[in-house]
Amino acid sequence: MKRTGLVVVIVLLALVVLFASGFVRISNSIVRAEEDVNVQWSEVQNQLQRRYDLIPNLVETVKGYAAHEEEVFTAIAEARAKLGGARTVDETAQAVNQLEGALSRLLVVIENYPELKADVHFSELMYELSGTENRIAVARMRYNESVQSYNVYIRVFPNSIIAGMKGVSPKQMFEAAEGAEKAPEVKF
Amino acid sequence: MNHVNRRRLPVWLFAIAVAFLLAMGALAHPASAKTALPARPEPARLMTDLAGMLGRSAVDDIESQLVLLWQDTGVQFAVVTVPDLGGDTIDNYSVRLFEAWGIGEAGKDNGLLLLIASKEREMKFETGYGLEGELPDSFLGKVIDQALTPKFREGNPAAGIKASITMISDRLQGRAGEGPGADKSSEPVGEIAAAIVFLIIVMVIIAISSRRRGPRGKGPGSGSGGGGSTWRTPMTLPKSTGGWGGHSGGRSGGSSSGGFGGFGGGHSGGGGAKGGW
Repeated sequence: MKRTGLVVVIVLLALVVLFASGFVRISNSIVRAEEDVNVQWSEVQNQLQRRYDLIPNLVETVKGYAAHEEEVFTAIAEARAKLGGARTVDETAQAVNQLEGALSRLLVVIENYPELKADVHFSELMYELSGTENRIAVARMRYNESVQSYNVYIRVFPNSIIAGMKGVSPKQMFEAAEGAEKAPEVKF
Repeated sequence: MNHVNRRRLPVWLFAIAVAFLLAMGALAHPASAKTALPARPEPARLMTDLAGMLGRSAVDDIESQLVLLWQDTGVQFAVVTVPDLGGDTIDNYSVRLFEAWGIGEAGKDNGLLLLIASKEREMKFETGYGLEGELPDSFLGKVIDQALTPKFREGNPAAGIKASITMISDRLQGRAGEGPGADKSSEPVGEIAAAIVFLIIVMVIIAISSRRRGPRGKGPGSGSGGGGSTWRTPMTLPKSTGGWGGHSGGRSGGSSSGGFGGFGGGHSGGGGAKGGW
């Protein structure tokens, strides 16, 4: 009887150790996955900022040739202001969509001014804008991938138990608005 | 004893099962179907002509040019032609290829990819994170406009590629002395002068000390290595032969000692410029 008792205690201890180490490991993995999401989000913010900074220069150059296209310039200014004020992922996504819509209209306007297209400075800016658009797309894709990874990790069993204990919840992806999947196409 | 065991067994099993699951900590990765990418070239090469757009001698010339650039600046500039993009966009394809091959040194991210799609008549530069400052999108756009597109339209892609490498190389030349071949290109004159001065000092010291009529035996601790601590040459050798600073880079065949050492696992953020012909 005594020996069975000892064996039971040892096994129970082993189980406790197993549980505890599993808990610690999963808990740490959740933290790491969350940090990865944060890093990817910073990169998205980074690239959005880059485009945000490019736009005034671009608008000024276009104004040099197409001064009367007030509507488009106003739309861009408004969208830019909105993006500047966005805080959550959702707000940012919406503001980005609005800005991209305004940029598309700017590109349409540009089509009507061949002298503008031939301007060297303008051509440089357009390459920069196009490169930035791609960087944004890549940053968004990587962010979404890290969010997906994180969300799956905290929802599968048994991680979900520990996630529940820590109080973490699924994060939001950076979704494009319907019909606005493509960034403004910079092509001549 | 028997009835005690029968009662405990199911509980044990359950506890072990849960512990096992906890210990596993399953993480699922969703599979994604994407266009297949060409494999990293073995032995490692910078110029890969999968579309067959360039002649053999042109490929070798360009390879030498790229290797020279790598030796001078450490930049891993890969030029890849593919027959078609397999339905993918050139933006997507180039980022994926860049990441798959790991162009550039890990950490430094000094890789550059020029991807040329023959069927779609498109080309794209993809910059590693570390080169975004020196090779801005507008500069690479200029390279496309001035060096690549005109020559490609003429039907002379090799000349276009060579001209683009020259433009980029000129731009990067301010960084000469940072690449794996750096110590080869350092000034020998200064070193010779320093060696001469050193020798003179040594001779003076010997001359002075030989005037003393005293025991010149080594005292305790005056001899090098007397304390029993031996100098050990650092055991760390670069993993990829010839590729200094390249971590887990491509396994190069090592056949040509002057050739490219292998990609180092660098990353790109999606920057660059694209064009066509």
